[in-house]
Amino acid sequence: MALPLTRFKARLRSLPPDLLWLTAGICLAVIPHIKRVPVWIPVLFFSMAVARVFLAIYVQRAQYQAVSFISLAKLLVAIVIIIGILASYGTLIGRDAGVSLLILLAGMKLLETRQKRDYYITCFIGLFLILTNFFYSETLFTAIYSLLAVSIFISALIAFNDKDNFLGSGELLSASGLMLLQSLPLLIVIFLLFPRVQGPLWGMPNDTHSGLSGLSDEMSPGTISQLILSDKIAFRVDFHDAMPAKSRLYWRGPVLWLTDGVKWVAGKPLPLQSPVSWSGTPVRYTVTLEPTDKRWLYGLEMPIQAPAGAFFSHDLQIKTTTPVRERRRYSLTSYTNYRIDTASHTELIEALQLPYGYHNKTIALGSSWRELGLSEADIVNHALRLFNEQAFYYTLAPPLLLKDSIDEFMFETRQGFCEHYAAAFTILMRAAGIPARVVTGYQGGTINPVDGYLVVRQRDAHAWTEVWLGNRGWIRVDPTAAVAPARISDGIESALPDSIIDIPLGLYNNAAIRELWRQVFDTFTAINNYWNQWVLGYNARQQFNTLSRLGLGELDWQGMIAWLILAVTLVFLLVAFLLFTNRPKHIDAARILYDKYCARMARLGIKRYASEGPEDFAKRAIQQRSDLAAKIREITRVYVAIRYGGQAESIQHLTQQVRSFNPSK
Amino acid sequence: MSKTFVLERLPHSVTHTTARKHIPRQRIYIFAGRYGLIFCAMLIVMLLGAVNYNNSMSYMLTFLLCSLFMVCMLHTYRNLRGLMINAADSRPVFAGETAYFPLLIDNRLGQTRIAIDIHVSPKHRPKKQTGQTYPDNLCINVNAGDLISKYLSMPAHKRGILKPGRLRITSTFPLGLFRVWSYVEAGQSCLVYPQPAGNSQLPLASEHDAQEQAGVHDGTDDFTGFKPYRPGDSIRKINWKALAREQGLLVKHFSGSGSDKLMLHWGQCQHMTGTEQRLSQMCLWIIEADKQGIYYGLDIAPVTIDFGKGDSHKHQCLAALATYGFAIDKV
Repeated sequence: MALPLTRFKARLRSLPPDLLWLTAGICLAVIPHIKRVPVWIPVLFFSMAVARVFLAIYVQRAQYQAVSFISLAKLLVAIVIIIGILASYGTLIGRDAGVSLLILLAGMKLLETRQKRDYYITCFIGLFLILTNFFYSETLFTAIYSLLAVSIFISALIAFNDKDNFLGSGELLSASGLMLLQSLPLLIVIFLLFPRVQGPLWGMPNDTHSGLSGLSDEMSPGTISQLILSDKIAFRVDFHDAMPAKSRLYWRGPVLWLTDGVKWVAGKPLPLQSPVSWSGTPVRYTVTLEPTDKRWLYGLEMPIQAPAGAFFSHDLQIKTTTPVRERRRYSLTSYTNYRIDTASHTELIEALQLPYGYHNKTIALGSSWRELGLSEADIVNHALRLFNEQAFYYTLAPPLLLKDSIDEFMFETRQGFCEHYAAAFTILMRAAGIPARVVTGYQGGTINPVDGYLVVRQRDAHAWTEVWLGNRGWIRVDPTAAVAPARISDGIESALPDSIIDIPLGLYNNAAIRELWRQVFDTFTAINNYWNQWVLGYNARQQFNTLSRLGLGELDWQGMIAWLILAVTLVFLLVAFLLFTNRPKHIDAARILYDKYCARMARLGIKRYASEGPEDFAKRAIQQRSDLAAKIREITRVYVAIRYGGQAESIQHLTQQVRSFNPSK
Repeated sequence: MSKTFVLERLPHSVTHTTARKHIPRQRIYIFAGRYGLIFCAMLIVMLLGAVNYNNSMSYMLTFLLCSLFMVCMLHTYRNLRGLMINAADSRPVFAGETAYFPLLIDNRLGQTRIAIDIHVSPKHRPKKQTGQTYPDNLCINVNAGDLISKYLSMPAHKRGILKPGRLRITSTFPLGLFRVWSYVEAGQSCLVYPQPAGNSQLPLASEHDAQEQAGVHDGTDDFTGFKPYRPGDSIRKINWKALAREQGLLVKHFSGSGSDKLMLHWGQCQHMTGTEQRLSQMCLWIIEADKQGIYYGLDIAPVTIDFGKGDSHKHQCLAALATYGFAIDKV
């Protein structure tokens, strides 16, 4: 048994290194996609990769070149792959299907790498796979991981061109790392100056933005509590003024008017915007919104003006003309004290709409309050007291509501999440004749102590209610606050169990470790934030700002290209200069000192020939300048002793000698 | 004969030493190779993807690869720049053997250079005969600060003068995206003697020649005594024992029986047909005659070489055979 094993080991050692690098690179490029594609695709790919390595072990390269794959078999495999992808996705184009196709193409190409051409094409497909990963993930981690994968591909190319395998694997990796490092200055210049084009060049596949989580403009029981499970960041806020109290951080999103008894949707657009008046101190801030693929922005209730490229709807939601498909920064000014009036009575009528045949018991309860002759304000307080005093619970996992969600919630389960409370409260108000509407958005957020940004995550999603109280306008009422006041004052973490925060298993019980974890987490989030601001958010607008700050002012794209060419040329020449100037090869201190002494001698007109040893040079120099004889002899003696006689003399001594050697002509 | 060349430019540190100022410089050419062009096409597709999806990281990767492309150009160029090559003539060979042209790669002032190919100019490249394999190029790897010697091998199929012609020095290292090349017109040559063939039995010397010179020149048959060494005497005849006794260099002296003097001419090769075969036959006889240490000469009109012996005489005769019929002014 030992013999085949030793033979296997010997063959493993004789594997062509370039093939191993290439296989490693392709595998690294495929790994991030594993979870995104149907399971048979990575299985097929990795079996092809393993097959290639085993073929390389058992079949010598020359023989492998002779093995020609029967083109019919190749065609059959290709057809099977295409049918498989069609069966999985129903299409061959689009992001996900395209990635699947690319993975299997890479596998097949890897399996048939025989010539230079196959090798390069496989390499290029691998680089493309790295690129496609960015359509799913743009985190800093992805960037570092991709850089590693790119360096493996570069090592593979170097290994391929190093025909005699002159370089070891460590040298290959450091050579590729060095090349990447040298491309860094060029990369920065091109990244800053390459003109950014707004918007897509052609229609994007429909699935491009699928999987973006966030609020939608519909609400039914469960839509928000689903978001609560997500740790993803919705947006970040940089406050230029003091941050308002946490209980005032209501980030306004879609306003919902109509219900069919199951779900809530937005109302009909009305032409006139509700008039708003503000009081108190303004709060200025900048929001960095993650892509949502939705046509609205979030603002702190209540902004005075919509940012550029956006407008207010009649119910004071900030709408955009195009979906937010890239990270977007905008600045707003809000007042937390405000009063909303109405522009038309149509909206008040709409705000009394009730679904026919649903929520009968709840509606009956609401209208009974009206019949008691209570004032509008009293009815609101009555309802809140009902939530507060009776056995209502705020929970993430409410019991499943099968028939009439609101009636069941109000009279049977009494356990619900913010959307249950907001919906039930709105129905109660409408039944009592008070116009009401549901507002969705986010509430609260967490300050990151590292960079001071307020981070609003998906789990801060919230729903509340606005009621029309005649002379006071639209008033925000948050029924959740009546049930779980901590949710509003301290944020979602205090209202939910710890398990929602992403702490590794087994660390729950140790407070110190939890604190440490939180710090690490905060630092990471802050670094990620810079990454987002400077790399991911670097769009046409950001480019304009940066270039203005650099003093290039308003550049059109021709100007930008001119600057780009100029800057790239300059940096390229600089890199070339650094690469081509011979740095001194002798890095030992003694040699550097001795060279300095020789330079000083040269200034006197006594040049040391390349063929001349220190002793001979000293003899010749003394002949010409006998006045310096003692000095020359001492320096030469010490230098020779250090270089050739072990550490018989100290380098400090030579330093002193050479420093004090300053002859004049 | 040997010549030294430097590719493009000497390193700064040596330009001030006069000895190296006059080394001819060879221009280096660089262009994107086939895979470099495919790489560029890939970059354009990547850029379109990045613009369309407005994806910053895709921009980043595209620009990184673009920068890498430019840096690769510098590295590929640097791989040849400042390389010094000393090219010398090959020692003469017989037809059918391989000529080795020595190349001294002087990298004492440069960085590590990898995968530099030296090609013989295609015009001069001998055609491969069936079943024969020899490398089309010489691949060189040299460490920083090293001086190495390599041999450029070329099969010598025919007698005459074998020339590798203009050497093409190319490299695609490190990434294979660019190709740099340069030419070195070293004028190397190798004298190719005819392939020894035919009858190894030496022809009988003509009586006239033999009698005239009998007893005067060395033979191989009977030992007659010692005489002082003269350049040209065979080392096989040196009396080493006498040298060990510090009696100086003495050469054993033999008297021949008359066949020790041989003039080779066309008439002796009647049994061979064709000039080349006859030249091969004479070549074999010259080798034999040299082995036996007899005096021999060559008479192939228009070239006549008088009697003589020793390595330089042998070379002169073989060279006359090698260049017979060629218009060559220098042997």
